[in-house]
Amino acid sequence: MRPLDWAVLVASLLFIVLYGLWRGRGSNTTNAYLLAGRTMPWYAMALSIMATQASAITFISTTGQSYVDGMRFVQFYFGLPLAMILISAVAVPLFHRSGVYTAYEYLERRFDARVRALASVIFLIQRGLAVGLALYAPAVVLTVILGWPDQLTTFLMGALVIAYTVYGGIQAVTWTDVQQMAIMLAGLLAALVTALWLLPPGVSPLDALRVAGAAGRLNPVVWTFNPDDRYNVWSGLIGGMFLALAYFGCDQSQVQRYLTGKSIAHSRISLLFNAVAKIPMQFLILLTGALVFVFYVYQRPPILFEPSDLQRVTSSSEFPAVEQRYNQAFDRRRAAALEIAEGRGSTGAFRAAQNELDAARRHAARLTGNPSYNDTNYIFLTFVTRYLPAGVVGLVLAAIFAAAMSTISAEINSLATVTVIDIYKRHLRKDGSDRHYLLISQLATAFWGLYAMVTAQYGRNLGSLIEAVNMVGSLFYGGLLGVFVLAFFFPRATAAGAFYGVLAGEAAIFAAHFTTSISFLWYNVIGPLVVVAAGLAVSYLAPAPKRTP
Amino acid sequence: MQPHRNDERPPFFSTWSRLYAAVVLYLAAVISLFHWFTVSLNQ
Repeated sequence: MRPLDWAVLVASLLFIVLYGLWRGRGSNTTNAYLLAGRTMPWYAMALSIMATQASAITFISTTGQSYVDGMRFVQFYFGLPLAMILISAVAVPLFHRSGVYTAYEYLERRFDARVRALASVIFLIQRGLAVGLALYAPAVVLTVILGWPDQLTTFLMGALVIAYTVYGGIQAVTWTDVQQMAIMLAGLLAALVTALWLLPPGVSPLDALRVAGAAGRLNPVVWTFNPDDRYNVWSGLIGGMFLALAYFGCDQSQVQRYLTGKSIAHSRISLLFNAVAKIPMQFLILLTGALVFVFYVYQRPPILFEPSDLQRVTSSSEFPAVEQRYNQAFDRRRAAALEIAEGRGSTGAFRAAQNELDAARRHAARLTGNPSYNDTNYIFLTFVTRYLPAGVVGLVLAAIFAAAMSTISAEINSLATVTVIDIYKRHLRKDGSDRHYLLISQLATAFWGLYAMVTAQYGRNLGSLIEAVNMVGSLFYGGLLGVFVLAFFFPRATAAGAFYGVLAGEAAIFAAHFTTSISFLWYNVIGPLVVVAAGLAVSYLAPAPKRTP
Repeated sequence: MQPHRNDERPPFFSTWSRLYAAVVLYLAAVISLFHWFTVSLNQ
């Protein structure tokens, strides 16, 4: 980190915090604090929705995912446009017309207080687990760069976010999301252009794509269906659609973004903007990861990307032999890549060298003593901090921090909203003044921010963070999506049917997780199907429900 | 709170149904482009 990088990073962070505080002024009613008085234009909501989903994990982990596994992860987003259409057509008008603060509030109007409470608790558990991971990801950045302990970095990041989110509520969150999205795009493009610029002389961008292709990294479409395979067109279209339906349609951290819209049309356009823009953005992030892979084809990468683990294994008696094997494989792969770039090489020689290189890396990983060793999250950061020019490093790091802050602020804001509206105001104190609920909302926001700081300490051993977050989400989203499907599409579904349907759906998801090897994306299909089937069965068999007034 | 205007038209394609259809066509085009990308370069 050079002075210019520090200047760019610190200026960006300060700007975000001060801008958030300025934008959040005037949030002195519960409606303004939690829903911005329903005055948001479509473009602010659109960028806020995109920024909320694009966490630091997206930058750090997705690029590493592309480095080790290619670009097929982009298929995960193929179902997103379809989900956005369904949510725009069905959920947005219902939520807007009912004038609710949370998605779960709608469930009480449709079913009863018990179903609302169950859905709220599921959301609080699921999003509460994820918010710690979202905060942990940028701690990886500073651990690599500065050698600071995770605890310190998570505290600093959490404190910055809490400052403007507690003060300004959703207005501060949404408008800082807009700025954060701009910083993210600038950082992404800077990393992409620099990765191309750093290619050795004589290697054109097209040559780089050929090399990445020879290594199997340019695979954004895999047509072969395999339920155990996480990323193919079918799991992306079907499983991805269900996951996106659950995330954007039932998760308060996203629903709250478009509940702030000044009209149904504004909310719909904000979602459809994401339907169009999300896949190209993910494609660019993954392409950046593939180009980082190509860069390391010509520039020797460390055998392990996590610095402290690398330092530890070098003292092993086995390490010199592993390193020699690794270096020889690297030299063969580089020679094969140069031949491919010149149009005379074979992909067979390249892939053989790549396999040998991977085997040497696995051997080195075993020397760490950690059977689940995974350094995916360190690949992109190592590239950024070692090779990018002054100023660009600061910009890319600012983008990662912006991504983290936008996600965390939206999550603690939504967690606080559900805590106050669905739990506190509904079950603990119904007759408080607006000023009282505003104060409780601010306290709840601070609580969830502190909670995120504490749970962030457990993110280290979860492997690829992007997969960990989606895995955690998929365990709970099926139940939530199922109950909203019952609410929207099955008029004869009863409150008892919805309640027991959700329990059955969650039981089915956890059974699938612990007893089968089915990819987690399919949990988002299994869950709603079981909820609907069980919910309808109970609705027809059980007596008519007693509705809560 | 402002009243919600439910009858607003989308800024493009004159009706919501047509706009949704355009998004589906866009998705099909993106997948086709990615397929070409995979077949052309991932060898």
